Amino acid sequence: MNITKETDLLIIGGGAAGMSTAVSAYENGIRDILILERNNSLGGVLRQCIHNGFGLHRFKEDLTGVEFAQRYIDKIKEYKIPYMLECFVIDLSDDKVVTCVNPSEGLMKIKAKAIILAMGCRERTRNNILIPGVRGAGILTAGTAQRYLNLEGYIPGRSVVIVGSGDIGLIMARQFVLEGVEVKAVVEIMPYSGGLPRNMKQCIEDFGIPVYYNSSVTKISGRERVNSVEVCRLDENRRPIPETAMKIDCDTVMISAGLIPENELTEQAGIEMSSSTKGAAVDECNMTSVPGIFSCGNVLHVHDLVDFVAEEAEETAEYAASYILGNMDVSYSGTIEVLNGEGAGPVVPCRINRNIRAESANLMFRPRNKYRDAVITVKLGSRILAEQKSIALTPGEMCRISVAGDKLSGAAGPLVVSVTGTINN
Amino acid sequence: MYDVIVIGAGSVGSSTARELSKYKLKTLVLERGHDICSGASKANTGMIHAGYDPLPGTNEAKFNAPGNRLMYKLCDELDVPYQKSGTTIFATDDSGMEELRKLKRFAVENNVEAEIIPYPDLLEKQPDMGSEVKAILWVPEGGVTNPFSVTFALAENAYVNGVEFRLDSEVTGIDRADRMDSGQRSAFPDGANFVVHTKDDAIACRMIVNCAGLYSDVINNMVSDEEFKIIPRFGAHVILDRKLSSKLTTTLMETPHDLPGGGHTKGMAIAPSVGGTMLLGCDATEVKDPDTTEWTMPSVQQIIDYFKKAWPILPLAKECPEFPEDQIIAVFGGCRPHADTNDFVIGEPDDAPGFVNAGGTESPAFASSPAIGEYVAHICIDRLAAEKKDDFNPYRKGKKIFRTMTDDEKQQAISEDPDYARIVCRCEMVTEAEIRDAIRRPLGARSVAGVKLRTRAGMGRCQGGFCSPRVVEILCEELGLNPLEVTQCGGNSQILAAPACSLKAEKEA
Amino acid sequence: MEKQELICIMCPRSCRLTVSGSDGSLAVEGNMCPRGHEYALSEAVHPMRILTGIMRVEGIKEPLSIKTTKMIPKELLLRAMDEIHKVKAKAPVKAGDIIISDILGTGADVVATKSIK
Repeated sequence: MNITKETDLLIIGGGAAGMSTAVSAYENGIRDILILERNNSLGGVLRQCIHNGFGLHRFKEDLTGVEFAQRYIDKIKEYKIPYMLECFVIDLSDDKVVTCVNPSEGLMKIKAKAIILAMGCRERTRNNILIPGVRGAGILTAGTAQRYLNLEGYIPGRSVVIVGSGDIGLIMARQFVLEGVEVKAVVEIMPYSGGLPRNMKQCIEDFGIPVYYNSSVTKISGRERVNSVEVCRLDENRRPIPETAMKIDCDTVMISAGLIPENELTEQAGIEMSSSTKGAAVDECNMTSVPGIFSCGNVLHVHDLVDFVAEEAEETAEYAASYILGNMDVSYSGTIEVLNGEGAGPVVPCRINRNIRAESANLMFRPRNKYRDAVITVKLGSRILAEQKSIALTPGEMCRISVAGDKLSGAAGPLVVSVTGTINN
Repeated sequence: MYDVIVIGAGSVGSSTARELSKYKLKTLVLERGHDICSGASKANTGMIHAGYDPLPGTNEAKFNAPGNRLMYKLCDELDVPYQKSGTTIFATDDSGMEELRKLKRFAVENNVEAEIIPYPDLLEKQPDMGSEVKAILWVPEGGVTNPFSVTFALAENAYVNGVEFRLDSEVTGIDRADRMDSGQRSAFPDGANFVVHTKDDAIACRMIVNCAGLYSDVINNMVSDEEFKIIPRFGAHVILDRKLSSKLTTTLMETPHDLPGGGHTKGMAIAPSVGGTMLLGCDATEVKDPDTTEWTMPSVQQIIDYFKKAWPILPLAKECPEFPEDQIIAVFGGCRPHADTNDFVIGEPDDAPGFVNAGGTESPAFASSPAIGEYVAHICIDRLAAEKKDDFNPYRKGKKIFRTMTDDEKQQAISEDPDYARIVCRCEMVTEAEIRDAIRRPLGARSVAGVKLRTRAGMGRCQGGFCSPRVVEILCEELGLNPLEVTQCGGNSQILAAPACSLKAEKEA
Repeated sequence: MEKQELICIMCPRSCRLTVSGSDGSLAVEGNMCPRGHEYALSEAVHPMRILTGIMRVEGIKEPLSIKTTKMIPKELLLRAMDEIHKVKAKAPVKAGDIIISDILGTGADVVATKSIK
């Protein structure tokens, strides 16, 4: 099949990342843009995020997710940036051709000068985290519960046990209580919450919901529908201690145990993946191993805040724009590898071009533990390139540290990011 | 009155019904579940075992190899995808070699083609097999299909050819005319030998075929004094995402070892599925509740540990050096109906003429089911001296699967039906056209699981997280339901509990 | 009053705050912005929250998302939600439309956060 359409910039996904890249690319002089969105409206998961806490960084206002999305939708309409809804991408190739389908346009092959991958992420399921027990109605992820409630208008259960303490689960716990659903417990395998501290406070503590740390659901029971779960404390090897088993009656088990970047298309295209972040291996411009294909937002790595998704997306779009306009130095003189050292989780980007194109490289990662009085350091060999102090760090929040470009040019690497401080799990 | 009542609409019951539908008979299938394929067939792996391993002389040996051959023919007639990818049983030590030679002897006696190929000659068949493998038994007739698709297609074809089906119809009792006193017998219609009771009905018939799987003992024991007992054996399977599936070209199975946790198995296997994912398993543990779907960590850990250890010698290791635990997308389990006779229970008990068993149907019953169905159906056909129909239609056309279409086929399909461009299940790329068809078909889907088993929507890596709300919506549109009435799989398995903003008011009221 | 440790919920930075002193003169530490200071004072004396949620719209399946225009006392969250669930909005609704004014006498209005035609 032949190419049916050509465009300068093709953006896969019309959620927070995709919309922000579109707006930013436009503002950086790109006019021939097309956003492909699989749902029947722009906004992605923000459409179901009816809670507030969005936009504090980006707009200096406390917005709900729905309102945050609308800001971008309004901009896209104002700029008349083209987008195609109900458009599902079925293939991406390394020559920057996207194969996609849409009910009115049929099958299309679109060739682009640059592509931004902004497909977002999916939720870890009960099977991914291997929770034993029955199958049957009443087992769902927090995001699915959120969609049923806020977009479809239905409550999925009357009494809920929440597995994991990811932010969506915490947000849903509060909304469930407000809806009259009984929230029996939050069961967290780690000694600390996987969500933002503010959500633990205002969604869980505010409503007196019991949280069981160092614990896991060891059995889901019921026949046609869930009727109870068994919860056990874990020993130091994270194995359940049978003597601690406790039965909790509930008709719903809601999983909120983390997110997985949706990189099936990325892998199809043969783009190099990072084994640590599970996203594409990108450089300081968020460009992948295929020149002209960029990745940003939750498909690159799972963010804590949409504001930072938008920020990362805007920066990525600037680089994509300069790539399209021929202003980017694409000559290659090797890269500096970026590694996560002690106390730090996988870092994005995972490499920096030796002839760095940015004024500075922004490194993002999550700490491996809860810390007090922490110090984040970026080292090149024994040389400290950047250092940042923090009163408290938690895995629920992303750390960001920037390294000035001039300190990097010509360096061989690798660059090692680490965290030290008092572990406070 | 019915000529034949078939109890159970799993693969054996549906295959029996389809065979009966070729003849001028009034046939009814009673199914306890909410859907066709609700029992053991639902938790089946879809392996079309060739018949090399049953003990010669048993019913299992008698029906497996002929069933295997018929299965491929059936799949062609009923438009069900399959892969005749062969089965490769490998041995890594002397006792394994002993086992291979035994299986080879069985294969010869069971009239199944099988060849022992030593290392390194086996590399011609399995190029990337590890050198730890001493030899393989190569069984070319082995294959895989989808047990749900086969069962749905058989039932649908039987239905189209005149067989009636009643779902949600558990048999609660059976009266035998010959055991009634004369007063009671007068209530039986002329020629009726049995009255089958369900919670709503009492239905008279001449003959019964017992295809009740996990409950085949219960049904048999209602009628015959030649009792047997089903011991449900639970097995769990682990499913891996489709990333590596193109590298798995055959079902690989190590010669059976004693499992550390105890239990019975044909051997740990890794099999491709026609849907593109991979199946690992399985173990078998005796349990009490035949309906349980409850899997336990030790049994799944056993599978994972086995594959972690065995992985380096499997051909997949070349592509992916370590067992990809992060690619586990699902775990499922179910019970297999093991009879205490250690064999299929087939035929009429001496004390119950007109009552035909097709019970104890544990593995390899799925592969055997076309042959079992044919055999038990013909007991009825012969006894009732039924004539062949002139208008039996052996063919059934499935809905074209979008995911496996070429670009041109996709373009064509969308131009004929734009619903083909609406991808509902993104992980398995299932379109709205396929989902609507699955609901509209004869004996179509009525629940979220019904849609899933027929189309794969919700079977992929997100396990229905993204698509189930849309599937609920489509079920409502097609069946005229309120979302609160939509179930996971019938009964009290409603997906949703109440309208938003209503619970407080409900509690106060 | 004893020293209280709080986590600021004013923005996702989640500053760890300590409040000490007595009613008349409370001291706040750990805040990185004035909003944190304000939050700590109010949290120590009388916790306040923004309420967000959904409500029904007459004749329309899709729920309407709503929020309060300013924080309301924490202990009124559940009652306020019950009040909201007792009424149905009437389409069309535009984001920002007031659905209930001065909910429970808090001075906060309940407004739509999305538009429904």
